[in-house]
Amino acid sequence: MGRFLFKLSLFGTIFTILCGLYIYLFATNKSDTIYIKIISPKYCSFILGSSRASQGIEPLVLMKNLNLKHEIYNYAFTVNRAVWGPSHLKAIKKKLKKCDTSALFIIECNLWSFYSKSSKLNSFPEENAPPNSIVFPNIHPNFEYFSGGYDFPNLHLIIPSDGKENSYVNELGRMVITKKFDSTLIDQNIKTKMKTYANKFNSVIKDERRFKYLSETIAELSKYGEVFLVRMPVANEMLVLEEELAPKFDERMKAISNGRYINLKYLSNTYITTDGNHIQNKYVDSVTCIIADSVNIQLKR
Amino acid sequence: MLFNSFEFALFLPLSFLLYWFVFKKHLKAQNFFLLAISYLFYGWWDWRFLSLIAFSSLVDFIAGQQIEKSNTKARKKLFLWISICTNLGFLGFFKYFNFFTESFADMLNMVGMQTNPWSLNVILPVGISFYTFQTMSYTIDVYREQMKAEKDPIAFFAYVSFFPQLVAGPIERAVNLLPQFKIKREFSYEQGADGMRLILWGLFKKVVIADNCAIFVNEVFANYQTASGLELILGAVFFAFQIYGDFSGYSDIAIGTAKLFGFDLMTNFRTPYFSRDMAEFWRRWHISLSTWFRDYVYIPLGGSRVGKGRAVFNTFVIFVVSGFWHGANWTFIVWGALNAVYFLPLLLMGKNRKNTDTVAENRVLPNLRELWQMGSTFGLTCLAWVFFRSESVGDAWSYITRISSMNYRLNLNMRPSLFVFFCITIFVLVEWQIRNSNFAIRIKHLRVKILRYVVYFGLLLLIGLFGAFNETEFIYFQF
Repeated sequence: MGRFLFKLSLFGTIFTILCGLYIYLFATNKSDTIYIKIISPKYCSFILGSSRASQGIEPLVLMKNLNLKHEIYNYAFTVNRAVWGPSHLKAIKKKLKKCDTSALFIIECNLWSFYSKSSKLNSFPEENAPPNSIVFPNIHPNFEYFSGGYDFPNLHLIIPSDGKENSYVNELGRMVITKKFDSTLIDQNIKTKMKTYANKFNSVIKDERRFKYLSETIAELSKYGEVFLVRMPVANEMLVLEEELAPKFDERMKAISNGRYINLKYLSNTYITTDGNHIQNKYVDSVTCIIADSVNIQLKR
Repeated sequence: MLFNSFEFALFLPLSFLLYWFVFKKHLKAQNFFLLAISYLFYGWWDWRFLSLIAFSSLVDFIAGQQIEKSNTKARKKLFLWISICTNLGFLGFFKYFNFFTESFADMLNMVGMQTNPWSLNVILPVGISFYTFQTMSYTIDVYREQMKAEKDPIAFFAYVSFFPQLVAGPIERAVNLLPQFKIKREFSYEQGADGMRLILWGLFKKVVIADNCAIFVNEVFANYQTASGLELILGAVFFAFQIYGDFSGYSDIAIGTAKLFGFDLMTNFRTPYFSRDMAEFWRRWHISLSTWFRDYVYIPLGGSRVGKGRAVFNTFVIFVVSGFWHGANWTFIVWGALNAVYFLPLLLMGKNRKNTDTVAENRVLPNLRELWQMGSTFGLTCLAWVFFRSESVGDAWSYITRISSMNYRLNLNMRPSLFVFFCITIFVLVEWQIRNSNFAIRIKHLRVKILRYVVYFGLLLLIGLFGAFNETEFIYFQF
């Protein structure tokens, strides 16, 4: 038994050390965007929500324009991960550093995160995906993510960066898209995206649990600071689809946020998106400035 | 608790250490501990179903003793039937109730009597088909006087619920497994090392082969109406590897885990895709279930030592029942029947035991004839798998007819990555190498120790990288 345990532990230890060293050295902000966010330290203030926020709201601009006491971190993920439910709330709490009551939380509310497939109404499928599935975040190297939460079958984490990636995560969590988009590519992207969303439109129904959990998330975060909901600008085609699916969405968000709702859907004509969903990188700062101005106005600063 | 989950990664080493360091002194303590951790393992899914397995064990424990005590054949039979009816009753209610009511309603609708099926919202307890068959084999063997009734309830309950093989087999025979609960287990280094190797290889099969194939398979079967002929063929072939990797992977982990606790379970798969005909395939695929049906259904029906007509009937029954065992859906029944159709010509021509040895024994490569035989058997197997995987018989039929559409472009967005082909190639090569042995990666011929560890390291790395832990269940859990 001694020999067995010794060999097993020796093998396990060498394997763990080598893997840990590799991840520690090669997991950069260009490798796996989810991993980088998960291993970041705890923060007092957050930008939360879907990829619209992850790509479209710049923390540095918010900090500059709002004179924030604490750094604000962009902890937004793709819409299938950042869904309002018990596991996502838990994931947010694990990342939250309880500083004082001067924190700021910008929650991007995306219509699609309140709609679920009818077959999934008895469960919360996002609980199996990172960051929600990670029990021990904020650690680097993170073996839990490496062994279980990995973006399957995504090899980016172990392949050293070749500098040709189309995106990276900046130091405060925003996903910066460096790829160039011409109008033909954008049209093509919008067409594909609209097709996907039209299919989605036919297969989802409103999930009241999601609204309840958004309210719970707001209530929890309000203990530590100010909470604002933001609706990001999208392409016109997307806006039409969303208005058709949920014409009273804005009223509902306004009610949930007690009026602290920054609605930028009216800018959907102004800012061009890369795919109907995400505003282009060159507009990120100005959109973020508008959000900051709205926050200043609402807080009467 | 899934074998490929974080919980199991904690459960297994903790149980192992407690078993060998705290409970190792007495047989009773070892059995009691195994029973406790097995119930914990099973209760992790839904603790309410523990009552089901406990009741089933209790009925069979009492039935076994009563059968042995009874002086008359009629009384023995009575207790045997109590055991069989209880087990099949649970199985029928939880697994087949809705199927029967819906099929009955469909039948009435076909003859013009409009009716709505009365269905219940029944949750299928995990592994019910496996443990009911295992525990039934005990009462039947006691009835046939092939073994003595068990007097120790802890040993018996631990045998029924033994966690490594509880939810997806191998379906163990009481004659093989129960006596192992009567002898105090001593740790053996060789057994432990073999167990670890089996677990490693099983995990590789599950998370690298099966789960990677599943991505493409799910895409093809969900969009078979728009997929091209080539994609449909690839979908069926990938499913063949997925189901084999998934199920034999589970069996390997189960056998390996049992070894860590000092038990030897039966082999469940012997490189079935290198079979030269369908009879050989069925001697190598899901051996514990095939032999169960052979011993408890086929032979009592008369087997093949009867008239030709009766033998054909018996074969058909055994395959259809085996298909139905897999699930309450016509697709499984058609899958079983199709395999019977494959098998029957061999039986009728007396060629069903032609290939009882291993292909290309003592040779490195097969000859052309063997290659053709293996290829055609694999092709037939893939065709049958289409029924097994499809949602309905109609879907399966459309899938197969679309293969012949002669459209061989790639239509779907999803394409199988080169990595998957690479892994399947490695997998097939390793399987070919070990076709004569029970162990996949004992790799005795790798005499340089360091090389062996490099192989283990590589496998672990692949498992770590491609492990969709907590996300994908084993296919056979649904049965």
